[in-house]
Amino acid sequence: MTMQLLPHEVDRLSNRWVRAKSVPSRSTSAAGQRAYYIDKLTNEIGAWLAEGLEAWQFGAQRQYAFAPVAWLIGTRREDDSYLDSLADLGKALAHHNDPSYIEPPDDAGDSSDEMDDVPAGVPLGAPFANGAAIAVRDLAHKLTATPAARHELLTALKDALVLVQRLRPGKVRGPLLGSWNLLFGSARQLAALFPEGREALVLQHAYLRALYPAMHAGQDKELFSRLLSDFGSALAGAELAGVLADDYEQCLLRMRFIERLSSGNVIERAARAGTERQREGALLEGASPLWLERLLPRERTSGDGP
Amino acid sequence: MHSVEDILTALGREPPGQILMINLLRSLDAGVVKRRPVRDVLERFAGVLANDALPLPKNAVLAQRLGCFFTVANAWVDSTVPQLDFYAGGKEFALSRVVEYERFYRMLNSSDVPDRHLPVPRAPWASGGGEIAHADIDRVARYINGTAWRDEMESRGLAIRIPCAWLTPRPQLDKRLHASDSRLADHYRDLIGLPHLRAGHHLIRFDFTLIQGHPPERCKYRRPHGAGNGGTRFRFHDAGAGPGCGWGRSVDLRRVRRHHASNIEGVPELVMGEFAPPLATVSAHYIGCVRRGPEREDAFFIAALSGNGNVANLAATLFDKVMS
Repeated sequence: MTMQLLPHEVDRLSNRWVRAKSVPSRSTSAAGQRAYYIDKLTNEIGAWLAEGLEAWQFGAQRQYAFAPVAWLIGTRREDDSYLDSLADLGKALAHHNDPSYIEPPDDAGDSSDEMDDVPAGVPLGAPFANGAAIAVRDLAHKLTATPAARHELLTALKDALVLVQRLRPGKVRGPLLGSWNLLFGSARQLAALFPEGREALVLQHAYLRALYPAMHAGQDKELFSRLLSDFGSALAGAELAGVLADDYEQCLLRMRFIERLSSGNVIERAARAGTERQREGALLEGASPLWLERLLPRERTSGDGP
Repeated sequence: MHSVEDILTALGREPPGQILMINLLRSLDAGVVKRRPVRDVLERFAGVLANDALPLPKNAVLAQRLGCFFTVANAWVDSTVPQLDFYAGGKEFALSRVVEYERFYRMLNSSDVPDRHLPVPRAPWASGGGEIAHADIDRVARYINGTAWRDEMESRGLAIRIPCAWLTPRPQLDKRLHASDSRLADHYRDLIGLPHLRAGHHLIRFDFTLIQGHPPERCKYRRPHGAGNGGTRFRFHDAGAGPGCGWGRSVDLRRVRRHHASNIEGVPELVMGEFAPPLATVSAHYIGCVRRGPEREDAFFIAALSGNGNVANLAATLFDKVMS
């Protein structure tokens, strides 16, 4: 499912995403200017994706959704979903630098050594993936504000979450955790947005699947635990079982494994048996916590025999 | 600046572009595609590629991209519309579509959360079974052939929404293929004419029952024609009158491989836009692993398309027909 992008198409996308090429003041370092540019680019891509995902739900607008490269989306004979082409577009962009990016001048205030540390060019893959997370945030906001298009926005939001699952952005926590709180943070908001409780559960499940790769570090551990607790409570009260419960269990196992990994004794034992980094790396790659559990030396309890 | 003429000349140099242009010319001659929309698409395409500082893409990419332009322009005009129940014979009727394992897996799994039923698809060239390791085939096949995957999609709020679905009548596949065939997956690939499926791909057939899930009126469907994205083994079918002529015909890659110029037709096919059938009307069936690569006899296929293999003036002919 590879997509080869034409340089003409990358040009068009870049021009669409970076409308105002303002450069921060000279007092900002080269690294700071680059980070600012990437941040602005990511937000523009997020807005573009959100608009396109929403427009796609209205059949008559599809030929304009994802302009100026609408011909790339959902037009391949082998695509089973338009999300296939969007995900492939994201992966293809990883091989292209942003042609609109202008390297900061040499006298930006950095020493020549610092300039050497600033990578050349801005590859588009990461901003696109992170932009998908921004699209989730933007669509969630719009869902709360536009009841007339509720059905289409809800579908667009679910599609955005699937896209995040496919692209695995590095900066997924902020936009997703923030929009989770927006949608599910208050019982009143929950009831207003999701009169049918099952819709909320399905959406929360999609959020968890999108956040799964990020459930690996100490940061935001409490937030993740709360998310899982909320989802677990909702699951217990619903008639649904099967895959939602299975995925919930996988997420719980992952969190518990991370908690054990962050415990000093466990780390010491793991260091003797192998390397923590190897286990952490395997977990980041999505290996089953059950499989990883078997790697760790078993803790002896008082009931264990000699 | 790359003009329409430049682009057509570039397309006319190699087989992928030649195949697209032959099909487009035949579709224009048959009246199933109008001149004006084709001209508009070509001019828009030239506009996108207008930057002289950038070279034109390779022929295969150029042809594929032009096909995408035609598809998004929604050139659905057709002189006939296939009768959906033409091949039913009074029985329950299904339209079928064949995909590789990775597409089936991705339909259910976009996330890294481990799937308890299905192994992560491997590359088709992976040793020990291709996309699916030998040891996993039986359990994967049992899962696909059952209905649990539909329940899982339902639980997750997922739906089948194919933007441009190429479909074949199930009775026609049953007539030409048999479960006892030792090379069944290869023959499915060849009969439907899917050259992107290679050795190591594991194939799954989806059946969409029409009687229960008849497409709603707003779902468009048509005979495939040259202004679409038929790919490198597509031939526009233009024959006869009556309800059956509304259907296209796939290219049988096995016959192309054997150089059967007189008849390379596969099975009937049509294209549906925005195809979103209810899950309850969908069933899946595991076919098997493709063993051999698709045929790649471009020269023979072009001769079969054009009638005489003469492709020297394709660009000029198409330009005159559309742009003048």
